[in-house]
Amino acid sequence: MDLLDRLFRRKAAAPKKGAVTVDLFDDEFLKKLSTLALMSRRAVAGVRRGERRAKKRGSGVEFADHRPYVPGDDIRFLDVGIYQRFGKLLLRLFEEEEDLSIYFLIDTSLSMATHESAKLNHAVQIAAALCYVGLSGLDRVSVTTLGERVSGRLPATRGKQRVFRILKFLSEIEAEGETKLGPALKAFVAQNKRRGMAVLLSDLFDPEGFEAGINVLRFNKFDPVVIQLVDERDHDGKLTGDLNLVDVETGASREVSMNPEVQKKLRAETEQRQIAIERFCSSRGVPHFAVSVKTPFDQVVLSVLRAGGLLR
Amino acid sequence: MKLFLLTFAGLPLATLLFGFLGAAALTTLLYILRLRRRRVRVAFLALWERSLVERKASELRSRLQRLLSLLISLLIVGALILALGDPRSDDEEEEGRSIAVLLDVSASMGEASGQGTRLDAAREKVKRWLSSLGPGDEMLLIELGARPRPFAPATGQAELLREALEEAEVLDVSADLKAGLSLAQDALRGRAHPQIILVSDGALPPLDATAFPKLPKFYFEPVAKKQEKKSQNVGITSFAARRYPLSGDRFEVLVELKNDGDEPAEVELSLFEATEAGERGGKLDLHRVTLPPQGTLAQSYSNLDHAESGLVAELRRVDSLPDPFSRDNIARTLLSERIPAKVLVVGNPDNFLDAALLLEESLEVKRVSAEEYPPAGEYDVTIFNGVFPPRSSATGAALYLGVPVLQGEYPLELGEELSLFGFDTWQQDSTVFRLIDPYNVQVLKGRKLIPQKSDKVLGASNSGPILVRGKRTEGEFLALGFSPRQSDFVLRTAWPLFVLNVIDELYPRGRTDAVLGQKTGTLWRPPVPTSQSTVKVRGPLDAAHPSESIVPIDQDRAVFFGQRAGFYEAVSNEGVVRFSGSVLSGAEGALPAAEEIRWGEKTLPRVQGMEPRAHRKPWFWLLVGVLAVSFGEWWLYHRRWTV
Repeated sequence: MDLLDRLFRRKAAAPKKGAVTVDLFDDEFLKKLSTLALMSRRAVAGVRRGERRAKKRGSGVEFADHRPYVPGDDIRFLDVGIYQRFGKLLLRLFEEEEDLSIYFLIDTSLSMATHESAKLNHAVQIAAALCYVGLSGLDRVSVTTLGERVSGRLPATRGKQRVFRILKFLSEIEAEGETKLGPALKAFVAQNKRRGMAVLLSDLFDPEGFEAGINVLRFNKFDPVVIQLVDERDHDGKLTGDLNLVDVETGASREVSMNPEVQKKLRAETEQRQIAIERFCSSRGVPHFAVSVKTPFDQVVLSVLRAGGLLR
Repeated sequence: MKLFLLTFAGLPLATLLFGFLGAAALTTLLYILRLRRRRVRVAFLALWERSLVERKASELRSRLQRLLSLLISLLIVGALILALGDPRSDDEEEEGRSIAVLLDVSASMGEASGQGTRLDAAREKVKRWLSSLGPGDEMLLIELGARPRPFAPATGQAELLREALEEAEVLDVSADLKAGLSLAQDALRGRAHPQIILVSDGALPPLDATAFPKLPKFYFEPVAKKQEKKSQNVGITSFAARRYPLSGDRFEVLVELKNDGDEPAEVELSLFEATEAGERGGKLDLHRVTLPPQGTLAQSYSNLDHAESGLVAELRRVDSLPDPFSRDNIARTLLSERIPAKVLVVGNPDNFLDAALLLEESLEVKRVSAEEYPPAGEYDVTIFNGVFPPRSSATGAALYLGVPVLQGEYPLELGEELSLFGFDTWQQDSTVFRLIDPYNVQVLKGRKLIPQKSDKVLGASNSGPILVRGKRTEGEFLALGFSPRQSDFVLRTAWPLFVLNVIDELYPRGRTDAVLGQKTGTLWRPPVPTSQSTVKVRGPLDAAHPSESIVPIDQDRAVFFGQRAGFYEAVSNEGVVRFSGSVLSGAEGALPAAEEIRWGEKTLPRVQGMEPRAHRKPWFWLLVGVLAVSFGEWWLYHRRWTV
């Protein structure tokens, strides 16, 4: 009877498939966020509030570049000196100082919810921490969930007091559908005209290739940062016997008899894929972090901050 | 039930067949169910797709794999069912061997051999043989001591025999091989494939093989290295002690030592006091002596003291030669007990008498005048010194010194007066004249005593009896027909001895008897004064586990066959009596260890057919087979040879 009770209790308490199972409002978690915010300030010391530099030419005081004059331009910005020397009408451009927009793009496909939502939980915790750090730095923070399309969106917000709104949004995330980063990110860039940093948290298990999504961000002048969630159990070579493998997203199945040879090939394939991702990102200047679900999230956040490129 | 060459001792054949059919059907059903593949949800199937290089197996190969797998499973089930039947080959059902093992437990088996004793080596040897016993074999273990006896029932159960072997211990006796062989022969009579195995150090007296014309197969297994030379043994052959009559605290001992070697032996003899627990106590004396070759030497050591009841003598070789038999180097004996006696002296003070009584510490002496007689209390002996009041039975036996003028209360009739006389005849074997020669005693005057029929004359002059022992209604008495003060008796050294001897005669305490240590392997008859027909004997007292036995009493002596040296105690309703026994060197020490024993014209062969062998029962091998097949199936499965 005890065994049956335990089985039923476990069944009743079992989380809804694909839901976030970590408590983001846990005191311990919030305390860690505060600590991370303080540590991030130390990491980016010397940079004052609101002084993040956006790649936008505007009405700042610091000279940035010249461009040819076209009718309709404000003639006050014509470079008189150049006109006198070379007889060409060139307009002086200045760097505009503005708040940085940070977009957190969380992959919520079903592949993120395998093994008790380990990757999704980890992604949500990392996103929450980075959002808090961003809000502490008076940056504009926005969260978007992606699957086959954009499935949820939290409009850009700023100020540390908004962190609970973000945490609430993150804790209500549910995984569903397939991974289609390309189309989903196209929809994202169409919805967000204001360019900024785009932090993509995904396992990059996209049947159409992980490159498509990252390229969409790059080509639309976002600064992509890729945080790849890795769960070793996804390519677990410890499975033995005759198996019927079923893809959680597509439902496609494949019969396989596990043996040492298959296990060896699986390990090799996983390593090759990882190398391909790292090579792609590094060759295109995209910061990439492969994060194991076994690594505590605060450790991940600190390593991301220390590595630079994010929030600086 | 039989099938082919197998007999099933376990479940019946029909049950086994039905069991196998049922289990085989269940196995097949489970096997079919097992062929359904396990569903496993994976995050990204494409990752696996690229890794899957499984070759499409041909239909034929797949079928063969499955068939092989099923066959292996059925093989396992079949072997398990067969094991339940406990199959045995017909060969095993044949009558097994009947083996009588004569395990030598004589004193020489206590000598060192390797890590332990020779008996330990023998025990290990027999234990190894136990694993060679077949299902029909039986083994009878016989303890070969002075009185051989079986110490475990004839059985094939190795565990029972092993437990019995653990209890075997060395006895301080010589082995009686003849009795052992007779016992073994009787035990094996009528049994199939009988054989006798003697496990010994070979230190056994030669035996006439013709006494056993129909002996079964007889083997000898030695447990000690052969001794090339004649035995160099030294030992104690006799040990006795006695208290001095005039000084009960002091005693003397007599020790007889023996040397079996061809050369003189330098030995050191130590005497120890024995403790209450029968162990060796404080050292009393130490002597170094040289023993003649192949001879004995008797030594007496006088004026020893500081021992209460027991003595231990220990011999040690101090020359460079080895002593092959150590158990006869220790001997034990007891000193007679000092039982106190209450003596009442009635009459005028007498220095001669008082001085004699003072010599014996165990005497409690009270002096009263004739008028005060009889005083309150009970006494063992009363000395009437020149006075003759009416005698009371509460004052014990009586010694009359001097004679009355008139008959009065005197227990004897008085004859004519005598003058200038002495002891012309006397009872030399009487306790009264122990260590005394009274011939020279000169008496001035006295009277002839006229004994009654039942009285006994212990001493007489040419004129008639002058010392008479008798018994009256008041008790025993001893009457001297003259006053000692009317003679030179009181001036002689014999006087105090006479007084104390008379007390011993009238109230025997055995205080000065010499006590001779008894020899193990013989019937001991220690005096145990009791009205019971049996007593409990416990000992050796210094052993880790003293044994207890009930022994019969015959003529106030316990009848006990002593096999272990040490101090013993016999417990009766009347009290506790101690006695002791020692190995006391004899034939056992003189016999050298041997690796061969002559038996008639031949030498006894070594043991055959007792080599340890593996477990022969088929069910055991079936289970081993199941394990092996299971492991093989696991190995094949993980290499895709089976499914």
